[in-house]
Amino acid sequence: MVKKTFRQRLVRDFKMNKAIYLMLIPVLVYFIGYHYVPMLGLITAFQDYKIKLGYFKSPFVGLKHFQRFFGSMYFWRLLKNTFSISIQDILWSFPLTITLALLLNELKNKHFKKFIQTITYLPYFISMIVVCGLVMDFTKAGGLISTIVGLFTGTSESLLTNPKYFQAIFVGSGIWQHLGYGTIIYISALAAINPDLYEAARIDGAGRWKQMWHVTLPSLIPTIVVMLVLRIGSIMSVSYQKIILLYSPSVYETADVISAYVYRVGLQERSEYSFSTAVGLFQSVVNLVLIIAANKLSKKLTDSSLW
Amino acid sequence: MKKRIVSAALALAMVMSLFTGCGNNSSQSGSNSGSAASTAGSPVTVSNSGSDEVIKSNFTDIEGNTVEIQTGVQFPLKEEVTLTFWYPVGWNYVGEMSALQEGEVWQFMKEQTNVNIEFIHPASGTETEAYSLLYAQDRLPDIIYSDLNKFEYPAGPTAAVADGYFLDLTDYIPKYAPNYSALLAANPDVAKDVKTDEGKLLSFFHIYSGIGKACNQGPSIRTEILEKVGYTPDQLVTYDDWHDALLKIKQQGLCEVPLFIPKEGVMDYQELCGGYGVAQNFIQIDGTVKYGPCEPGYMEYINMLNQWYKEGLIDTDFALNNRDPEEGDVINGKYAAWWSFCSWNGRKKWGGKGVADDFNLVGTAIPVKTKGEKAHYRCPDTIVNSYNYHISADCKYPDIAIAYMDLFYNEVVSLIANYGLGDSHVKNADGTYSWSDKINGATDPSAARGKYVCPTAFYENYTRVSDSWTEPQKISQKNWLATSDSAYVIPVYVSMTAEENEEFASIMGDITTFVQEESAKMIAGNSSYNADTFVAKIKELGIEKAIKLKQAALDRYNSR
Repeated sequence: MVKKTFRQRLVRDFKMNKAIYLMLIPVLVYFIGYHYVPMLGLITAFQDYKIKLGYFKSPFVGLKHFQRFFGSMYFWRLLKNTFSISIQDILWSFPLTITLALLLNELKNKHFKKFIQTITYLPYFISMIVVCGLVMDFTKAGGLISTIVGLFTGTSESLLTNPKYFQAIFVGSGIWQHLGYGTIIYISALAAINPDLYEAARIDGAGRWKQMWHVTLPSLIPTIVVMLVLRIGSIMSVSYQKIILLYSPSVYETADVISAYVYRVGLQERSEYSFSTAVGLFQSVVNLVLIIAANKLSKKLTDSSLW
Repeated sequence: MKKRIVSAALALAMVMSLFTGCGNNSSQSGSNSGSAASTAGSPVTVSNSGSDEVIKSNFTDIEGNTVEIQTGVQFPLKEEVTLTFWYPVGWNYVGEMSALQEGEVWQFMKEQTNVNIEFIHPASGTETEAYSLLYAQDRLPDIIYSDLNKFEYPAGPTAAVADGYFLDLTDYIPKYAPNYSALLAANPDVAKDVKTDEGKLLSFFHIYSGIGKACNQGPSIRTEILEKVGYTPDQLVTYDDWHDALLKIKQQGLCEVPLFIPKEGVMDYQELCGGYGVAQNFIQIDGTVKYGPCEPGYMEYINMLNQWYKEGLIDTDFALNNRDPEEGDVINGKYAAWWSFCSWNGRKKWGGKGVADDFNLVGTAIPVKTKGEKAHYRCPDTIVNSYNYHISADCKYPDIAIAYMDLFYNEVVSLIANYGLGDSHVKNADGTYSWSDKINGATDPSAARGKYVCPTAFYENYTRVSDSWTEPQKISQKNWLATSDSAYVIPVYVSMTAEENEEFASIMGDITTFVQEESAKMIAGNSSYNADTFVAKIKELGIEKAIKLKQAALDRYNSR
C-alpha cells in the first residue's frame, strides 16, 4: 500500500472523526487565547510599556529592565534565597510525602487510615492568610513555638524576626500545610500496583519490608520522577504572597525572594509593568532550562521522564 | 433528560466564559446617560480671545436666598448630564447610603445644576490597586481623584497628561473655571503649589480656606498611664523625658510595651526623629536637599531606639508591626504610646469595641534633644492638600465637568458644601457657621458628614472640623504645634519629569530596601554595619544622583 501524505491522512482522519475535532475546538480556543496569545505580551519586557500606547507604540528599550534587575545589589541575594527556599522545600517535602504515603499504604484498619488522611489533608484547605496568621502568632515573641524553643535556648525571642530561622519557618509551615494533600497522587499510584507482584514476592519469602523495598518503591519511581521534574520546573517561583505575609525588613537577608522584591520595588507603589515582565521572563527562562535539564537527566538515570 | 440539560447548560456556560474576558466593561462606558447639553456633542474648542463674556447663574445660598454667581457654563443645564466620579476615600462617609451622591448636598447640587454625579467607590482596602487598574481601562471615569502622596500615575501627573489619560486644564480653567481662577489669582502661594514647573494646571486641587489645616498627627500617649509615673502630656518635651517616662512605665509594669514603633523604625510622619533634624526620607535644609539616613542625626535616633530596645521599651519584634497598632492590642492596653491622627485622640472605641473607661490618648510635643529647641520635621500645615481631581481625556463634556468642579470654589456654593443645608449647621454669633448636633452628635459622625455635607469639600474650611473637636483633640494639636515646624519637609508638589522619575525610582529601590533592613537590624543590635559603613554603602548605591534629581525638582518648584 502506498503511504499517504500527512495531508491526506489528516483529511481522512478529519472525515472519520468530525465530532471529536469539533469538540477539540473550545480547548484549542482556550489554549490559543489564554496561553499562547498572552505570550506575545512578553515583548513588554523589552519596551517602556505604556497601556495607552499599547504593544506597538511603546518605545523599545532593549535590555534596560534586565540590566536594572541584574545590576541591583540584591540580585545575588534574591537568587540565593529563592533557590535556597525551593531546594529546602524539595529536600524535605519529597521524602516526607512519600514516607507518609507508604505508611498510609501499610495501614490495615480502613477507618484509622481515613482518619489520618482527613487530618493531614485539612490544613491544605485553610486559606494562606489564615495559615500565615497562625504562623505569626506562634513564632513571634511570646508565641507558643517561640516559648517552647525558649525553654531549650533560654531566651524567648521572636523566631520570625530572626534571619536564621525564617526559611525553616517558611518551609516547615509549607510542609505542614501540603503534606497530606501531596500524598494523594502517590496513594493512587500505589493502588495501581499489580497485587500479583506482591504475591510473587511473598512466595519468594519477602517480608513486608522487602516487599516495600523491592516492589512498592520501584513501582513508584515513575510517579516520583515526574513529580520531581515538575517541581524542579517551578523552582524559581516561590509563593510571594506567603513571603510578603511573613517577612519583615529585619529578615530580608534570608527572606527576600525575587517575586517579593519585584512586588515591593516594581508594583507596590509604581506600576512598572515592563520591569515586572522582564523579571518574570527571566524566572520563566530559568525554570524552563531547569525542567529540560532535569528531564534529560532523569531519562538517562531512571528511564522515566516527563516527555 | 433533566441531567442532560443541566450538563449542556454547564458546558455552554464554560464556553461562554472563555469569551467574556474580552468584552468591554459596559457599565463604565455607559456613564454619559444624559443626552447632549447645550454645548455638548462636539469637542470643545478653547480660544483665549473673544470669550470674555461673563456667565452668571442663579443659585440658592445657605440661607435659602437666590443669588447670582459667576459660572463657567450656564447652570442649570437645559438637559441633564451625568458625570462619573472616581472617589476612593470614604466608605466610612458613605455609611448606609449606596454611594455618596445620595447625600443631601449632592442632591441639592443636582437640582441647581442639572448635573448628576455618579460616584464610583472602589472596595475598601483595594483603593491603591483600583487606582492602578484605572489606567488599564478602555475609558476612564470623567472625574478622577488622585493623591500626590498615595494615588498617582507612576511617572507623575505631567506624564499622565502626556500619555493621554487626563486633560491639560491650563487653557480650560480661565474660560470655564472663573471661581478657581479668581482664587489662584488672589493667592499666589496657592497658585505656586497647584501649577506644574511649566506653569500648567493639570487638576483641581483640594484647597483649604482661611488659615488652612494645621498639623493633625503626631506622637500620643495614654495620659492615665503617664500620670501614674508623674508626668502630664505637656511635660514630655525632650527625648530624655520620654525615656524616663517610658522606663518608669516599664518598671512599674503599667504596660506590656511602653512604645509602639512600626517596622520601618520610624513613625508615619517621622513623629520621633524630627527632633534629630532627620527623617527616613529626603529632607531640605534651607533649600538644600539631603537624604535623612545619611545625616548624623539619623544614627543618633537609631542608637536611641537601640537603647530603648535593649531596655524593653519597644517590641522585641517591632519588625512585624504595621503602620499603627492593631485594634486588639489597643483594647487590651498593650501599648502606652504610639503616633496618632487627631481624630484618634480621646477616642473610646477602637474596632467597634470599647476601651477601659479611663483610657485617654492625648498628643504630646514632637520630642527634641534639649528643652527650648524646635523640631523641624513633622506633618506640615497645609493650604493646598495633596488630593486633586483630574478631568479625564475621555470625558465627553469637559466644559461641564470643569464648570461643575469650579462651583465648589465659589463662596456661596462652598459654604453649602462645607456646612450643608437646613439644620445641618448652626450660625455662630460672629456670622460663621458650625456643624449642628446632627453631625457632631451623631452616633456615627463620619456617616453623618457624608450624608449632610461634602466630606471633603473641595474648598474646605478646616475650622468646620476643628470646631467639632473634643477637648483631648484640641490639646493634642496644641502640643504638636508647640515646639515644632515643618521647615525640613519637602513639599509634595515638587515634581519630576517622567525620565527623572524613572531614574530616581531605579536608584531608590535598592536604597529603600537597604535603609529599612539595616535600620531595623541596627535597632535590634544585629546589623553588620556601623554609622560610617552604613552611610558609605548608601553613597555607593548612588544616593548622590538621587539627591541631585530631587534638588533639581525642588529648585524648579522654588522658582515657580
